[in-house]
Amino acid sequence: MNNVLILHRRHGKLVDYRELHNVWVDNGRKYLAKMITETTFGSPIRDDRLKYFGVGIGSVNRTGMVTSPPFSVSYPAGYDPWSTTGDVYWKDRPLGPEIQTLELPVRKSGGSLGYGDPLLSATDVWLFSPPEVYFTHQTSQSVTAHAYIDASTDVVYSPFTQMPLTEAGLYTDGVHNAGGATPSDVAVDVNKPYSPLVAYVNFDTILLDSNSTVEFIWSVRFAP
Amino acid sequence: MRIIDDIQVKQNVYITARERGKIVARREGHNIFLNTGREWLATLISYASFSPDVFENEARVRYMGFGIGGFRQLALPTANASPIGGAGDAYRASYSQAGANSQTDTDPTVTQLERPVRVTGTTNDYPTNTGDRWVEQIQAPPLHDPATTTTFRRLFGQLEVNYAPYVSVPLSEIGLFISDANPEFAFNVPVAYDTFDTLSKTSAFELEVIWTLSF
Repeated sequence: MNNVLILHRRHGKLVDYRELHNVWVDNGRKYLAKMITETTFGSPIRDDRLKYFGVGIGSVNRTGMVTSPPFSVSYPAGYDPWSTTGDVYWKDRPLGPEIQTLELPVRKSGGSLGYGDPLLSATDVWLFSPPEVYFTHQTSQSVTAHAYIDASTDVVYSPFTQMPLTEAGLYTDGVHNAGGATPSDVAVDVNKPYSPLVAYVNFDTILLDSNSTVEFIWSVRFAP
Repeated sequence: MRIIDDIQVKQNVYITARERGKIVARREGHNIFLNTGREWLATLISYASFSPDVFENEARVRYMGFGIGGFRQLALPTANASPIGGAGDAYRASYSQAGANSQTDTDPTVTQLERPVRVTGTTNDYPTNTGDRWVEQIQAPPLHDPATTTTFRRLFGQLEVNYAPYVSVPLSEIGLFISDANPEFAFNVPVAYDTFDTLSKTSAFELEVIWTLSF
């Protein structure tokens, strides 16, 4: 049963859509295992909830222009926790390598410096926060994230005249493992490119331009 | 676990009875994570509102409780006889909120122990008496080994779930409850449930429950 619906509109008209499955990654499973418990009675082990959403241009679905400037300069491969080539992450094989972040995250807004640039601005915004993402219960046993990208102001901006989205992630506002080959705990930070996620999806390229809007409707369901 | 699409919760329940340290009985089984549990999880990982961030649900797993209901109650004549389950007895099946030993651990719509029994307290019949304890706190903190699992433990002592005039209580169901439960209320709503072949609790032995949820 599909749980992620992506609607791409230009000038308000639906031009493309994706309907697919996500993967609830290992970090998400660890999160749930601790979320249901208390250190002592009345003191939860963790208290973070679903809050953020992010998009990227990595994964096995990565194609074409992401190898060309300015993409290859601003979003060069090799900075994810596993130092991949940028086209490796795959939701159907979430442990090879273990998916802990987006593979090639793209900014919501900000500058155009590369991931590894020491001058990378702390005011760049990499994740969508409420109210651009909000949550509902479409059924009593699920949580649905609704995220909205208006490419006239977000994701697509000079020098990025188009943006080939191929991956997305859901985040809590807590601390998770995001260390890859050298594990470490990292807090989700909207101002940093590589934050640890709890759910991941990759999909065939959706090519945004400044006339695009993209709506994600992403349900997390607790199965019988 | 299916890792694509839905999050599935698997469970394992181990109940071990020991007499002076020796294992005298053991029950192992898979329980069911109930619809009530799934609804709880869906609200647990959500904020009700942002700026300021307001939790939708803050309850965590905290209690375990036993019952003599469920379809695997093999000692039904005992469970239905005085002083436990006869007319006017403490755990009578005829009480309006109790069931007739029909609940299964494959039905996610279960919303209570069918015939809960006190951990400690009085001998009055359902529903309860002030001071009666129907569910008890688990050990905290729980174990996370491996990290994608949570293991809850509770040791029910010799004098728990066993007190005059109940010299032998034919346990056959168990529930896991969140912190919203009222320990002094008989019919709390569990998030996970299991039935097992009757294990008659006497004051001669302790019961160790190890309950693992895997995500």
